[in-house]
Amino acid sequence: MHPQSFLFSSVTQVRHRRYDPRFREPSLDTAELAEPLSDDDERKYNPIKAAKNYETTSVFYDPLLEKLINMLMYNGNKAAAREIVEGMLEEIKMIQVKKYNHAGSKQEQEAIECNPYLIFQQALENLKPALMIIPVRKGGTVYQVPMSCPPKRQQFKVFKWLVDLNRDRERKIRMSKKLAMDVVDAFHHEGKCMKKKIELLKLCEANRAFAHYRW
Amino acid sequence: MPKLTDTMCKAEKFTHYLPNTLKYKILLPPVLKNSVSTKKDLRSNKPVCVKEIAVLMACLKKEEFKNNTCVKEYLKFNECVEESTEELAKMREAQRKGLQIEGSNKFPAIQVNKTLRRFPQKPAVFELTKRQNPEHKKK
Repeated sequence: MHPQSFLFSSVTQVRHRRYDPRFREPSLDTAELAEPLSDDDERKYNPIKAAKNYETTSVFYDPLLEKLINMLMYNGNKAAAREIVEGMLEEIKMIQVKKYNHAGSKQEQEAIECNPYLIFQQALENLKPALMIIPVRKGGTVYQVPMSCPPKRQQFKVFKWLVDLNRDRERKIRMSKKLAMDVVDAFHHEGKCMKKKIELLKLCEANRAFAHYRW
Repeated sequence: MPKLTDTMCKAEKFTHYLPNTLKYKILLPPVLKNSVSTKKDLRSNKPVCVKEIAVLMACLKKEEFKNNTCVKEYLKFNECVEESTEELAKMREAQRKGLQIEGSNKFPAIQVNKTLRRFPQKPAVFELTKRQNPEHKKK
């Protein structure tokens, strides 16, 4: 069973990979990869997709950061996007360490979180909206109907806000710095992205009467 | 009683102003498809989580959309959303297997399509008018 026969079984598209449904996702867990497979294990006989360039089994691999890099990338300039995100993490650390050094008491110091990865993850969680607006056409008019936001869509919205709102800001400040400031603000429930999230919730609140228009 | 012969004779005068036949333009061919839509099976007529949304919105308005508030309402809302997604997953499974969906009296659309495929309609034959026929235009 030549894997090529699966890949080219139908017309290949230009920009997207289109695998046969039988292809499995590659595992990035070192423990799972170290385990030997028994003879009757399905994974031995199923074809597996090729791992993407940025997917690694490294300890430092974070799929959320990779997603941000992809969404920040412009014109295919991945190196620049990666530099910006790495710079963002550095800036977050600088901001927090500055606060740490200027803190009054030991209690205050302990309250300050200095791990940029944790701050980034918490900021994303804080920014995720529970609801979103969908336009529904009913009887000639288009209503803005609030409905629950699925988790993938929530994640997409957060990254989109982070990237778009910071692109619109003053050009003299580096993007890595702008992102870092926004992420630290979001960690403390403040900032432009948080404002955007609250605006969305307010719109949902204003249109709560149309919630049953979904059907 | 007044005589109406004169008016009836005069009324005939105005018939040639009006068209005798109605002009009806056929936009889409009136041909039945050999399948039925399967999307409507998944749509439940009950609006989902509307109460939970309303309660959450009321709480948020009260708290002026501050963060870390309305925790209970969020939890209830998330529970409701999880339930509805599970139900939708069940409905999709039932549809995939071709079984009837719980709670609906409809005959599953996939089975309807199977029978229609076995007994398809004859392909419709249309005669193009002189105007519609492209060959006529070439002349």
